[in-house]
Amino acid sequence: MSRRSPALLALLLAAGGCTASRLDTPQPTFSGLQAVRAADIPALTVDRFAAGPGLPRGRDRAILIRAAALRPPQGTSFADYLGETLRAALASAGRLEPASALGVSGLLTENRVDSGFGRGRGVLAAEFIVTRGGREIWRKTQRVERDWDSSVLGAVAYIRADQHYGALYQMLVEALLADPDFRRAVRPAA
Amino acid sequence: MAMMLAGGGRPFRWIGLLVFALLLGATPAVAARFFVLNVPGELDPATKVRIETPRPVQLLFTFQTNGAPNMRATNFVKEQVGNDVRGSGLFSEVAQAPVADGAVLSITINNIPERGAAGRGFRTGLTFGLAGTTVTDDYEITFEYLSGPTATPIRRVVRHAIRTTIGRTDPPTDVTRARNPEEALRTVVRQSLAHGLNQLGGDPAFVPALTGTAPQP
Repeated sequence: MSRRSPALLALLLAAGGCTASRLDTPQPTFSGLQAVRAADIPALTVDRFAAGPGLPRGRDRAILIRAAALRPPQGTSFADYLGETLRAALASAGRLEPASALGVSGLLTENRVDSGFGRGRGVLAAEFIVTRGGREIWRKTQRVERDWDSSVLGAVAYIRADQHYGALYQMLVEALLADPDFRRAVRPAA
Repeated sequence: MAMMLAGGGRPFRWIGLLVFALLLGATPAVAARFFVLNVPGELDPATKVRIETPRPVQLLFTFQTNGAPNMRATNFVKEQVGNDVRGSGLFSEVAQAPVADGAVLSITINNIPERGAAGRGFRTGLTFGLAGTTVTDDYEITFEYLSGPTATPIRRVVRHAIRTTIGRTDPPTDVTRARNPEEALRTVVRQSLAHGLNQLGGDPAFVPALTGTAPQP
C-alpha cells in the first residue's frame, strides 16, 4: 500500500522530470455499493480479466501521461485492476461468492489518456462476459469517458490525470451494474 | 545547479559560488507554512451524543480531489478515519465487510484546492519567496448513513479548510498553525469527523433511543 502523499508525489515528479507511479488498490465506494444493491443481483464470482485482442501492445501495462508512465499495482495489469474494482464493489455489498456458478469476466478493449495543457480526457472500455456453469450467456461492451482540467505544469497535469484516470474504473463497473441487460442476464432463470 | 554555477576553474567561479550561496540563503523564505481554520474546531465534549445501544456498521471511506477519487490519499488517512469512527462511540463495531443489519456509513472527504494555486506557488518560487502567496485547500466532508438495506440515507456535510502561505506574506487570521502538512490534514480529518459523526448520531432517524443534546447540522 502506498503511503505517499499527493504533495510528495508532486515533488518527486517536479524534481525528477519524468518518473512512474502505480495505481493504488481499488477501494469499495458508497456509489458502488448502492449500484450493487440497486441492481438486486445474486452473488457472483469474478473470473479472469485480460487485455482484448484490439488493445495496443503494452497498453494493458502502462499508459503515458506527458513523459511519465502510470502503471497498475505491482505484478498486475490494467485488466486485472478492472476485475479487482468489480470484486471490491461486489464484496462491499456482500455479493461476491467465489463458489458461485455465475461468473463475470472481461476483456479490456480501450484504455487511453490524453493530458493536454488545457483539458485532460480518459477513455476506458471493456467487453464483459457473463457465464453460468461455465457457459457464456451474455456479452456486451461498456465504454466510459471522463474530462478534467489539466495544466501546463507537468507535475500538476500528471496528478490530475492519475486521479481522474483511476476514477474511470469505478465508472465502468457502475455502468455495467446499471445496465438492465446485465441485470437480466445475472438474475436466476424463471 | 551548483556544478553549473561553480564553473570548474573558470574566471567567474567565485562569483558563481557567491550567487549560489545567496540563492540558498533566500530559499528558506519560500518555505510553506500550514494553518488550519479555527472553525469548526474541536468538538465540545458537552455536546457529544451518546448512543444507548450502538449497532455495528460497515465503513466505506473515499478521499477525493475535486470530486475524483484519490486512492493514495484514501489509503493515507483510511486508518485514522476508522479509528475516529470507532472512537465516536456511535457504533458497536466498525467493519469493512457488510454487517448483520446492513448498516453502512460512507465518509467522503473532497479536497477542493484553490484554482490557480500551483501557478501562484510557481511564481513565488521564481521570486525566491519575495512575492508571497496564500492558497486555500477547502475540504467538504460528506457523511451518509444507511441504517439498513432499505433505509433512507441520513446525510450531513461538514466544511473545513487549510490555508498555506508560501514566501513573504501576512499570516491568515482565525487559524491555528500546524507543524507540517500532514498534521494540518490530520487535524482537519479529526475535527470534521467529530462534528459530522455527532450530527449523524443526533439525527432522530439514526436510532430511536438516544440521550444527549442533538446538534443542528
